[in-house]
Amino acid sequence: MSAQQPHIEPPQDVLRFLRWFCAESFLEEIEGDLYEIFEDQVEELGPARARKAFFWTSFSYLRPYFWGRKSLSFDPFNTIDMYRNYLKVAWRNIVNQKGYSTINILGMAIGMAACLVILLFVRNELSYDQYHENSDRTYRVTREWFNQAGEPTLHLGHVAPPFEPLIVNDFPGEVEASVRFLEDDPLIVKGEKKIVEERFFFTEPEVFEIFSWKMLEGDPTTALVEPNSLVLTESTARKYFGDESALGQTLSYQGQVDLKITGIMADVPTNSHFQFDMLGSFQTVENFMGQENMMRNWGSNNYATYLLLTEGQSPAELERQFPAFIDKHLGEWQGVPASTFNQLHLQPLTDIHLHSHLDSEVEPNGDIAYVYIFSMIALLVLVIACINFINLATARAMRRAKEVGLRKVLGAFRSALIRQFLTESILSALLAMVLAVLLVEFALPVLNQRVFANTELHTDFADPFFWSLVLGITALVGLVAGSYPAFFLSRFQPAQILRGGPGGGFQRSYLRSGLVVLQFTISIALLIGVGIIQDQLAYVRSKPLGFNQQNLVSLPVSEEVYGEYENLRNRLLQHPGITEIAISSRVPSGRLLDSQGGNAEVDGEMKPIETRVADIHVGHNFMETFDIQLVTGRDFDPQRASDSTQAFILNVAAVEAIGWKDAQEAIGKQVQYGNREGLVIGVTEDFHFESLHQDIAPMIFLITDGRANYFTVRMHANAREEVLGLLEDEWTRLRPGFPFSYVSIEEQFDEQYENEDRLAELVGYFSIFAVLIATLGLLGLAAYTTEQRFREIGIRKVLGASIQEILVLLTKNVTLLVLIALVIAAPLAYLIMDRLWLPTFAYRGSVELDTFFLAGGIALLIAWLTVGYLGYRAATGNPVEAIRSE
Amino acid sequence: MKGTYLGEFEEIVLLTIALLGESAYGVAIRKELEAQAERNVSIGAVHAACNRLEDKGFLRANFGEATPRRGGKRKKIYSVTQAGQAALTASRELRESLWNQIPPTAFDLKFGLS
Repeated sequence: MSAQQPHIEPPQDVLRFLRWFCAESFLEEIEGDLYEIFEDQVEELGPARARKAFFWTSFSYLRPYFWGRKSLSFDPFNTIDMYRNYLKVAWRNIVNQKGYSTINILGMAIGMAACLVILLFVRNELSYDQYHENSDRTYRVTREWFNQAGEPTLHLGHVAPPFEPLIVNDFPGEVEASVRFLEDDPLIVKGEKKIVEERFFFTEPEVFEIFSWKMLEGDPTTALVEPNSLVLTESTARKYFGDESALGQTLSYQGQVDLKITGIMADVPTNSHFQFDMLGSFQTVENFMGQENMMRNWGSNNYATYLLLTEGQSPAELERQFPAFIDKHLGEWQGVPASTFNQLHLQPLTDIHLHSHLDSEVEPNGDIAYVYIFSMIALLVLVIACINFINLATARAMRRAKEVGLRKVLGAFRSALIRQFLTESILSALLAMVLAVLLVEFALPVLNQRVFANTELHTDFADPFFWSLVLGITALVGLVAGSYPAFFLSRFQPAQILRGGPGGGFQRSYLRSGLVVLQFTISIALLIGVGIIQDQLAYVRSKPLGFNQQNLVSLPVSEEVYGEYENLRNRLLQHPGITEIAISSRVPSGRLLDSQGGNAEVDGEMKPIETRVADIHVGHNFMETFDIQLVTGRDFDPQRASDSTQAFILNVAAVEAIGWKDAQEAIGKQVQYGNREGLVIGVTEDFHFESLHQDIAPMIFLITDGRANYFTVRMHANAREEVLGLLEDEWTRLRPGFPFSYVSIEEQFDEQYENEDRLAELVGYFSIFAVLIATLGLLGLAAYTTEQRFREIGIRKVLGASIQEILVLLTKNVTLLVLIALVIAAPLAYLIMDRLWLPTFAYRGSVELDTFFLAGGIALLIAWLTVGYLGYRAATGNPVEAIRSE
Repeated sequence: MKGTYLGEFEEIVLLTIALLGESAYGVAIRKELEAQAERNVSIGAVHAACNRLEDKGFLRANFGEATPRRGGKRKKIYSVTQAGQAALTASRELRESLWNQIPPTAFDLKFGLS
């Protein structure tokens, strides 16, 4: 040791551990040698690393050979043998009381299973995009718009194509790599095989540098460099080429361009915020659109753009430079610098799945709120299961009291008894966990498919996280559920118990009643939650939308369809089953994302429109097709040429947003919107174009000059099959090779509540679990109390009580408990739903009192049935049996 | 006493101790082992092997004088016993006998096809 260094000691806690672990006889040698090595390493590596090395070295002693039992030390308490005895007694207790043990373990198992499933789900949610090596440095660029009042009006997860190259150019020190994705759904042709690939993206070569997707064949650095190259995921390659090697082969894009396969990559993990089957090289798009055109296109916000920042670069610092960057490239708009109405943000890659709810997302995301809600439910279900155990154990305390007394007389300390009961509860928890894992194993395939959309949750026995979860829950439940009975039972006074009196302190257990109330509170609250969700869903599904969503189907519009639109429409209209047809840029459902700026004539002068007014480009007859009512004015008229270029129809929300007094005033007013100028000719009623999560947005309708994505047909309900057949013929003729596909507007609108449906189903399951576990607990408890009062019932019967009277007597108590639970649960559940969940809807139905009564009624009915069943058995028994043994 | 089988690692440790003579204790044995066999050996493995060998009667151990340098702990110094010597010799003889019986062409077999 060098003289100037202070004396450095090895980590004491590690030494203490070794002293505890290793047998006495080894210690002098081990400690001495470790000390010597440590001192050498302090000089060589410095104290910090030497300590670390010391810690790791200590691991090499964790082998059975060194374990302390070989020492001659004397254990006065015979610990090992006592534990063996505890386990034996615990096992006998479980086996001898089959009914009681079944209730206990089953209840616990269900609670644990629910908890396991939820935690696996939560972990999966939290793991999104974490698998990328550079996930902590990867950010998505998002673009936000503001109105003149500075309020945000739109925030997109996609940006225009020029941003990425310009950011790379302007911030070379801050950005290490960057990539754009452009989504497409081309028809891919291989010989006879024609498939519309909906998970297709064009992207740049840097993609594999930023994201850790694994390339199986081909070179990740060059695969996407050349135009017309294509990377397939493994399963897609198999879909097209079977076992043949796909590398170097070609697939035809839309039957027009051959794309050469330059790489095969592993399938994208499901815990990614978006997934794909094919990646085309971005150069393909650039060649097609022209790079210069693309660099001028500030309005096409369709490019998901990701940046890999350099090591140590703060995203906030880069974000601060974006306003100046925007002003530099976008300049001014009507004398205002572009950055006042347009901003760029950086969003951490790993935040996208749970925290991002922008107006455009590559794929629908999860929600952190659901993670919280589910975690809370998991905890509650586990609490209910623990309560069962506590209640049953304390209720049955008398049975064990003699044993406790005897053990104490024979010299057991209280601590030994506590250890014994904890051993028992942990053993029960362990058995319950085995059952729980089996339950989870069976339930997961169903849950993956029905409840959690697109997840692959599974019990992975090689996964340390799964094991720590399993062991953690077991230990937690075992200790929490076991601690109360352990402390309670071990308190008994042996003299009193053995004399035959009560062990003290357990006449009427308020605690037991309190726990039953807690269990039912949780169960009822969950039931009310399900009720409120169902009510709200029923409300949004039955609320009139303001247009007639029935009997409408939409078909995709392509160039061929658009080119022949008028002829096609006239031809189809001759069919008696078709009443009206219109094309449009959007159809009700989904978000209204398109909008432009404009001016409107208010009080005689043109003023800028300060709110975002969403545009819908329509063909004539759009209103008629969708059955949208006009408040005032008139519909677009095919006979007036000016309607096609100089007319607007607004909805009432837009009239209000622009600042006119009422719909009447709006008629005939001058409007300039985007590059179109004209007059307002009509105002529609407010109708729901988006789901009821959204307020009705201000909307403007104009006759399309080419923008049309949907061809919507209104038909008679009874002609549906026939009309669809006709449409299929036409579309197959117009777009040969494309599979025929259509959407029903009614169904598509309905699907917007899929998430809520899933939530309802999941909370439904958990409320069933909660009720089931609570019922099991009550069953055990009631069995015990009925048994206690067996003699009382006998005497009452002898004295003339009827079965009904006895049943009332037995159920009175539980009725009171359930009612108290209802009184607590109702406001609690209402508050939680009212504050947390219902606000996700802009339109809310009223919360019905029925829901609360129904939930309370169900709980009460179950409680009565449980207690009543046991009570009935006792009440109909022969009273002689009960009394004669005195 | 356990069986007197000598494992490969144990044999090397035993030989190293014989080689070190008077100064064979944990740290020194490990250093020598690492130098000679050019492999990373944890001190725990050395301790385990030495104590096992002691159990088997192949090693004898004495504690040296206490020094301040080792946190006040004494060195446990090993030396090879008669039995240890015998086991080493037996092991060596077995090997040599096996080597002698291998036909000189045995290891050429791989190339036999050419």
